[in-house]
Amino acid sequence: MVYGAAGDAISTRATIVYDYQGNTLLQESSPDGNTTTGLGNGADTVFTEDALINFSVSTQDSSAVVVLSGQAAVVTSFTLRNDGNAVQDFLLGAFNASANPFGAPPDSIDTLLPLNVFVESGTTPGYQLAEDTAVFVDELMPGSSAIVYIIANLPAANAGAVAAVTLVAQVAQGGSAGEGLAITNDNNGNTSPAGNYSNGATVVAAGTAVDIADSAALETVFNDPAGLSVEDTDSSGVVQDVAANGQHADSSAYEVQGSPVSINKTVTVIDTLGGSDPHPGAILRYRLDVSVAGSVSVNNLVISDTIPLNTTYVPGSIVLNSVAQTDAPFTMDGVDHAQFNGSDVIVDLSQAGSISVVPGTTYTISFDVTID
Amino acid sequence: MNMKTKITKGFFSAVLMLFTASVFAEDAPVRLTNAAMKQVISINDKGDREVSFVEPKTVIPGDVILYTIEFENISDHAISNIVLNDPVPNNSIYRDGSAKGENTQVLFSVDGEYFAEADKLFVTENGRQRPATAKDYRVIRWVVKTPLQPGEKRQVSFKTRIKKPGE
Repeated sequence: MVYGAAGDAISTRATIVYDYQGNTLLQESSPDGNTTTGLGNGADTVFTEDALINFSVSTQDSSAVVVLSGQAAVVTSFTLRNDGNAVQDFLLGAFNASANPFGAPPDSIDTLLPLNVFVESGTTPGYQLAEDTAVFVDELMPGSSAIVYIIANLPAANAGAVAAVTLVAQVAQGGSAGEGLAITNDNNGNTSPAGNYSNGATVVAAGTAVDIADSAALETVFNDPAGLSVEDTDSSGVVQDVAANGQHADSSAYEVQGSPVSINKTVTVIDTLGGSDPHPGAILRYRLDVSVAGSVSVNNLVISDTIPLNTTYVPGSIVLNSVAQTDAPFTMDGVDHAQFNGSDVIVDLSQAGSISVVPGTTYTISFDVTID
Repeated sequence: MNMKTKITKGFFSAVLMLFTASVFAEDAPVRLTNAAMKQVISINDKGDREVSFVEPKTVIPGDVILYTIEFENISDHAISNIVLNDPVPNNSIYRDGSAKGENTQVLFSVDGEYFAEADKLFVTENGRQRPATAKDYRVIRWVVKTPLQPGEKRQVSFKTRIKKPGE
């Protein structure tokens, strides 16, 4: 059932049946008192359901989204729900000036660029560059929700740096396809602050207060809740998300994690006599344990290790995860990821960028040198 | 003819029968008024909750509306076998337990035809029968137990809540 009750006439008419002087009579009600019998001689008791504007923005992230220093197109997710009684459009804006909604560590990056908002508008869940291109929420039914993403590029930053972001939704006129005009005042003296929406394409001035006497006609009533996030930083600095202003906001955050790649290097001495004495001619077997932690896949993961001074590489000694490698340049055949270039052992775990190394993966690399 | 039996059988059949019985509008011995007021709850200076009722000029989902139906005998003769019906308005949900009326029996209907006490009504949903709840009521009926004397004025009432999205 499509529910869009704003402007509806809500009406009822009572009926009474009774015996009077031997006759059974029927009579309808009216708001002022009907004194005529018979069907159709009463009048409805009726009033208008006013337009309630009520909606909320809430982040879908339960903790800061873990990102890498300098990572591009990082995504925070929000739900926008229309709790009013009319179909509405919603303008969307993102900014980067809020506190970390998840507590520690404190927000430290306020320079995200670009900082864009896109609405889930394709068939594939999650943000996709190609599919999710809408910059405002169009024709959101009462009781329905839309998913909104903030997309940003992280600058280079140290581990633990936090960029908090806030999504602000501003109610706009619904009823026809396309971006509706912002509704910046109701009929009870409430106004919306100014804002910048649709990734900079739509600039909305602050509303002008209109307070009309309550009437039987259709009125607009702002009843959006207050929130914890800042909502407006245009003119007067940071302003807390206030109730009944046609806007609602919520925050999420990106947190830069430390390097997700760890390398543990050990060496074993294999002397010519079968002992472990590092004399000339003994073999040093180096072992590199590489692991990827965290929640983000790693691209272009290449491990290089320079042969120590006063040693000589043992040709053909590179082993990756128990698979012998050649010294020749990579063949990208899914087997041979390693080479020796005369000075360095190089292992390309991403195979020339063709695979992402997912968190939780471990690699074991070993190679041998002899002591000169 | 037993009017009471007819009415409890079906409101619409009773209406049809009466329509044929009194085709022409005539001055009625009763004045029937149906007034809607919005309930407003406020906190007074002492911090107490105060309930008041105002004209329903600004009404939004979640608001509670009080309907008061007043019936006054403006004739010189008693009126008997009184039965009042009022449909639950569109966009509205009956508030459980709110139908009031002294010396009346309150009945409900989920289909506009069969009326019964609240705990004796059922609805069929997805092929299974379940007890009806306030959300299911479409018509409220008051069967008035005593005659209304000349000049006497009585009232019955009920409350609704304006539906929210998804209701």
